[in-house]
Amino acid sequence: MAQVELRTITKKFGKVTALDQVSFTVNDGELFVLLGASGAGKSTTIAIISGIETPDSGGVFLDGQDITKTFPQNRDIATAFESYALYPHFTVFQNLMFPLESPERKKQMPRQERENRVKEVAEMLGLGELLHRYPRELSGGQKQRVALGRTLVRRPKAYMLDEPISHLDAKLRHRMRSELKKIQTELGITTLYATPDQLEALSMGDTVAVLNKGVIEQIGTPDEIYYNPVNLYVASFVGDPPMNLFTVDYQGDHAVVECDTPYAVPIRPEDQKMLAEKMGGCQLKIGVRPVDIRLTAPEDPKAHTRGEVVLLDTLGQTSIVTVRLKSEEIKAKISSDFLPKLHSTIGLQMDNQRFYYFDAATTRSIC
Amino acid sequence: MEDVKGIEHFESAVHAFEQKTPAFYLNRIFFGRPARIILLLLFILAILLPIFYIAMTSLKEPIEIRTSGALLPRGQITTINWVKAFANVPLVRYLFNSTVVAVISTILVLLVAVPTTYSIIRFKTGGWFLPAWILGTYVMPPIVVSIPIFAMVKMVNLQNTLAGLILVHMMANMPIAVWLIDSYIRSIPRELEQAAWIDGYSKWETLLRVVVPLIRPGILATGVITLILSWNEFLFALILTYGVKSNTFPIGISRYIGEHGLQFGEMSAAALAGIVPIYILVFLFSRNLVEGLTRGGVKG
Repeated sequence: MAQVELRTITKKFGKVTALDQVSFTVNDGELFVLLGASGAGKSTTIAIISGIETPDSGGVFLDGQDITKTFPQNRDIATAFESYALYPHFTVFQNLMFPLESPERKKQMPRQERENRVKEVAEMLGLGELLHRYPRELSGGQKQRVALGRTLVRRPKAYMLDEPISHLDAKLRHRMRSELKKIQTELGITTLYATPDQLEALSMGDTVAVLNKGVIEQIGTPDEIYYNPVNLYVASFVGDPPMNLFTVDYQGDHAVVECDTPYAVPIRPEDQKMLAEKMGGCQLKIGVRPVDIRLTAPEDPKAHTRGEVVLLDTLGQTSIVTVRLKSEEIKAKISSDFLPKLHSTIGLQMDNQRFYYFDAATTRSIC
Repeated sequence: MEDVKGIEHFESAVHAFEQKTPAFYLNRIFFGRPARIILLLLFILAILLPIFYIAMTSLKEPIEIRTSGALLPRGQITTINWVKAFANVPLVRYLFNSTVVAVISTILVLLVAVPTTYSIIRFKTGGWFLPAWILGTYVMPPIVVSIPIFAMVKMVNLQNTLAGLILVHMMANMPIAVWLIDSYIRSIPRELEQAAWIDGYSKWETLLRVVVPLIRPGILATGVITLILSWNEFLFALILTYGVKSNTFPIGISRYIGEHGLQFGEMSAAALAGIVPIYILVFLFSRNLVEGLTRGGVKG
C-alpha cells in the first residue's frame, strides 16, 4: 500500500515527446485510471513508474521516496504488460508462479502458500484448465488473463495495469471489470489502470486522468470528467457517441449555430448570466451530448432545426440516430422504442439545461 | 526480395507447366525431385570421398600405398597400419588431450561469451568500442600474435600444459561465439526481461532464468562450432605444446612424418581415429540441438 507520485515527468524518444511535464498523484488504495487514445503516452507512463524507462526530467516518488533511478526489481510494483510478455518456456502455472519464486519472496512465503495463491488467482481468471499449457498454446484473451494473473498473485505496493482486459471477449470483459474493481477495493492496493476505453475509465476509476499526446488534459472523478470537461478534447473524448459541437454566434438570449442552414437555440437565463461574466467576447462553441437531443416531428414548433435521418445504429435498448442537416451531421441517442424511419425528415430539439460552453480559440471550458 | 523472386519463379514455372514450353521441361530436369536427389548425392559423395579414400588407404599394405594411388586396395586388406598407428605414437593420449582442450575451452567460452554478449547488447557495455574490438581480434591472422601469445603463456608458466592451450583457445574462439550468440539474444523480446525485473529478479537472475533457457539452441550451436574449431586448431597447439603430455591430435598426426619418412598408412588410420571422437561429440550435441529448436518458439 502506497502513494505513487509523478512530478513533472518529461520523456522524449528521439524527436517525439512521449510525456510532457506530466504530474499526478495516485493516492493510497486508490484506483487511478489513465484514459487516453493509443499513442497518448499511457504505456510510457507505466514504464516509467515500474522502472523500465527513465524519464528525461522529473521524478517518481513512492510514499514520498524518490525511486526515479531504482531498478525495477527493488520497486515492489507489479505490472501487467499490454503485450502480455509471458515467458514462452514456462507453462501457465510456472508463469503465474514466477513472481512468487523470486529470491526475495521465496523466503517470505512457504511453497504451499505460493501454490494456493496461484490457484486462487487462476480460479478467479478462469485459467484452472490451462495451467499446464504453454503460452503458444493460448488464445490472445487467455494470454492476457495469464498476464493479469501474474500481476495479481503478488501483493505489491502498487499495481500497474496496462490495458489488462482489452483483448477479452465482451462478456468476460464486463465480468472482469467488476471483478477487478472488487479485488482492488478488497486488497486496497494502489492501482494505476491504463485504458483507451472510457466506459472502463468511468465505471472503475476513483480518479480519472485524461492523457492526450503526452499531456494531462484533466484529472478528476469520473463525474467531473463527464459533467465538467475542462476543454474540448476531454468533452469530445469522453462520451459515446462523442458530444456534438457547434460553433455559434452568441446573441444574448439565444445563439445562432453557424452552418449552411443557420438556426437559433435559446440559452437559459442562468447560463446567460454566467456567459456575460466569463466569456469576454470570445467565439463560443456549444457542446450537446447525444443523449440531450430529442427527436420531434419536423413541423413541431419546439424543434430547433430539421434534418434527414441518414443512419440508424440500434444497440438494443438505445439507438444512435445520425441526422444530416446539409453538410453537418448531428448524433442523437434515443430509446429504441421511438425510432424514426431511415431517410425521413425529422425535427431536433436540444436540451439547453445541459449545454456545455467552450471558448473556440483556447478550447477551454467556460462555466 | 528473396520471396518476391521465389514467387516470380513459381509463377513462371506454373505458366511454363500450362504451356508445356521448353521451359517446362528444363524446369522439370533441373528443379525436379530426381534432379535434386542426384545433386545432393553428388555433394555428399564429394564430401565423403576423401574420408573413404583415407579409410581405404589405412587398410592397404604399406608397400602398396607407395606404389599405387588407386582408391580401392588391390592386394590384401590389412590392419597393420592401425596397430602401428597406436603402437608407434601415443595416439590415445593425443585424442584425450584434444578432448579435454576442446570441451573445457568450449565451456569456458560459453560461460564468458553469453553474459558478455548479453551485456553488450542490452546494456551497451563498452559502447561501440568493445564489440568492434572483439570482432577486430577475430579478423587478425593468428600467426601475427603467435609470438606474443607464446611469451604471455610462458610468463604465467603454462607453456606445454593443457591449461595454457585451453586459455588460448578460449580467447581465440571468443569473438566467433560472441558474434553467433548476438543474433539469438536480439531475437528475444526485451519485454520478457523487463517483466522478470518487475517480477523481482536481478539482471543476472533474469539472464539465467529467462534469457539462457530461451537461447539454449543458440548456445548449443555455438558450442558445437567452438568445439570443432578447438579440435582442429593447429597453430597455437604447435607453438604452445611440445610434449606427449600436452600435444593435441592435429599435432600428433604430424608425428607420423618422422625419421622413416612419411607413414601414409599409419597417418590415415590415426586421422580416421581422430575424426571419430569429434563426430560423436557433435552428434550428441546436435541431438540436443534439434530438441532445443523444436521446443523454443520464442514469441511473447
